[in-house]
Amino acid sequence: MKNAKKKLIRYLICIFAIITLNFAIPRAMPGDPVMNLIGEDVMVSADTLNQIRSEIGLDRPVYEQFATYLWNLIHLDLGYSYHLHADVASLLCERMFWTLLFVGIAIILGAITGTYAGALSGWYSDSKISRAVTCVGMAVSCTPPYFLALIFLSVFVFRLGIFPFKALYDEPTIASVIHHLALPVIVMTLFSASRNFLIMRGSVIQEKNSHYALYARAKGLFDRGILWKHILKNASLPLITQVALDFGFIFSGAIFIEIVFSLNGMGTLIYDAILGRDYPVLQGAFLVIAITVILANLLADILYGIIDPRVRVNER
Amino acid sequence: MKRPVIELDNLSVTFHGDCDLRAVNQVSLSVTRGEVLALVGETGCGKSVIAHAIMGLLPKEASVDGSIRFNDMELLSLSERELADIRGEKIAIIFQNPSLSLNPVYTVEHQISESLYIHRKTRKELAEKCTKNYVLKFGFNPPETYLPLYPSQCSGGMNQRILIAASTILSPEIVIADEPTKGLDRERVNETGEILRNLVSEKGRSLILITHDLEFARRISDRIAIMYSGEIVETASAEEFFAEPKHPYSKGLLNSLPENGFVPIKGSSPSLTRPPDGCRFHPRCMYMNEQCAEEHPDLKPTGNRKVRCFLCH
Repeated sequence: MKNAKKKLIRYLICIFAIITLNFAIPRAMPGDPVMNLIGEDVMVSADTLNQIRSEIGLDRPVYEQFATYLWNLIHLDLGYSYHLHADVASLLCERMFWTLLFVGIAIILGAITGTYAGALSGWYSDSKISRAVTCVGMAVSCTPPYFLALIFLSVFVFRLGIFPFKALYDEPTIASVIHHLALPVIVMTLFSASRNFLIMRGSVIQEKNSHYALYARAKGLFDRGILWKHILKNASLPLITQVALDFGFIFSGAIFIEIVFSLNGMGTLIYDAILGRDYPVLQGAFLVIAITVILANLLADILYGIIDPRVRVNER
Repeated sequence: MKRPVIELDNLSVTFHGDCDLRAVNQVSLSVTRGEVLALVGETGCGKSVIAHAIMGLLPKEASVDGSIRFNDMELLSLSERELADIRGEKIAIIFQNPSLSLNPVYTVEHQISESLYIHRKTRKELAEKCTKNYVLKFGFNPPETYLPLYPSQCSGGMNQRILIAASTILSPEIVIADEPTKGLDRERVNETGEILRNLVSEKGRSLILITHDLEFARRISDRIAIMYSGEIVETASAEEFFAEPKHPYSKGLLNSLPENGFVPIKGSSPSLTRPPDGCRFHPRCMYMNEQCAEEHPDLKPTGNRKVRCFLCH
């Protein structure tokens, strides 16, 4: 339990550090923060500027501003976007749903297919099929997701016309959403599966030469029975860490994919915010993404403890 | 004469690589029901290779010649699928290094009862009951305290007993114990010896004990086979052997025991890729003559035993 407490404290410190950075960076930027906030292309009078300044509390000392920032965060108030004329928190919530939906599906599908294919490929590592699939896996994992997305867009949308080429849906029905999201999900799945595939393959190749695998065979397990019943659990340990670390990576990949497929998720929100210098939105989005990644790591930590008893032993 | 349960006939194992390595050369052995055969020799003399050959667990780069008959069944001609049905059920092995042979992410209970699920398709409740009763014999009392543990939470001696329990729960006809006392202290060695001996006497099973611990072999074996450089150089009943070893290498082994004055055999064991001409032991033998350097001696019977030495015939 002592160790679990230590871990929890570590994660809390991590979140606090991110919040502090998120608070400090926009304030360290050159230029007038209020001008940054409302955008340079908007013409406002000096009176309005001052009014906004005191509204946000920029005329007060830094520690007071930080306290207010934290207080607002606790109340899930992430500020107001003057560009989109909307509350940042509700904007993020609405967009986040779509991104989490397709990234989540892709990560789960990618984890399952990547693990399964990687395990088989590692088990039959000498076979020609296994080697060919490994080559493809390596190629896919080295291709940036947006490039992969562009290729898919060109082939399946422009040439073959099987999939629609923009938006989340034509009409808000599940069938329409599936039709629109299929391609982005496939691209993300391929990307995440290829990374998991390579890790799993290497891990299985390493584990299949271990003593316990030989002993499993000596007990009378046959061929893949050894793989599924003895090796899989051990070999998937590095994968858990990988999936958690990949979470942020895949999230950033999703931003580009959303742009390529014109999906109105977090990605396009961030993209537009960067182009229009919409700092409150950026700040909010970064905070949310950072916290999601930390939560994914926390989850991996917990999962690791469940699968590997040796981690639990050390906690005593 | 009792019929052998397992019989090796001119068994040779060669590993193919940059240069071929013949780890086992023309070994013939047999074990009868209720017998304990100790296979004794230095590290690298091919003892474990024989064990793995019997189990069919050798790597792909190994080629096996000769024959291994188990109850009129030729093991070398069986498919991997057929071998899998025999492994663990009819012939079981206890590996050296128990802590690595057990899977770190499964409980002791799972690993001991696994054979029941693999070979007997036992129902869960029954398997649990079986396992609980069985581990009592191994000093795990009460079983509830030990069965939920993981191998990393157990000591080396406990893991050794767990491994023996896991290999023998189906009471296989032959148990091969590969260096079961390696790395254990005196007390654990005695305990392991007793467990193995009981296994044989209670159920009339056969045991092939692979060891370099002569003292241990003396205590629990009925017959002893001494290996040197991939060959058997002497087989005899344990009693006769320890009373008077015939082969110069056997003599050397006994003299190297602490109670016999700790006299080492000079030189070191030859490389298996290029074994010496003539008798493989001749470069280290203090009785060698010209014939030993030129001709390879056969394993010939003298009295109740067999010896591979010109000087003993």
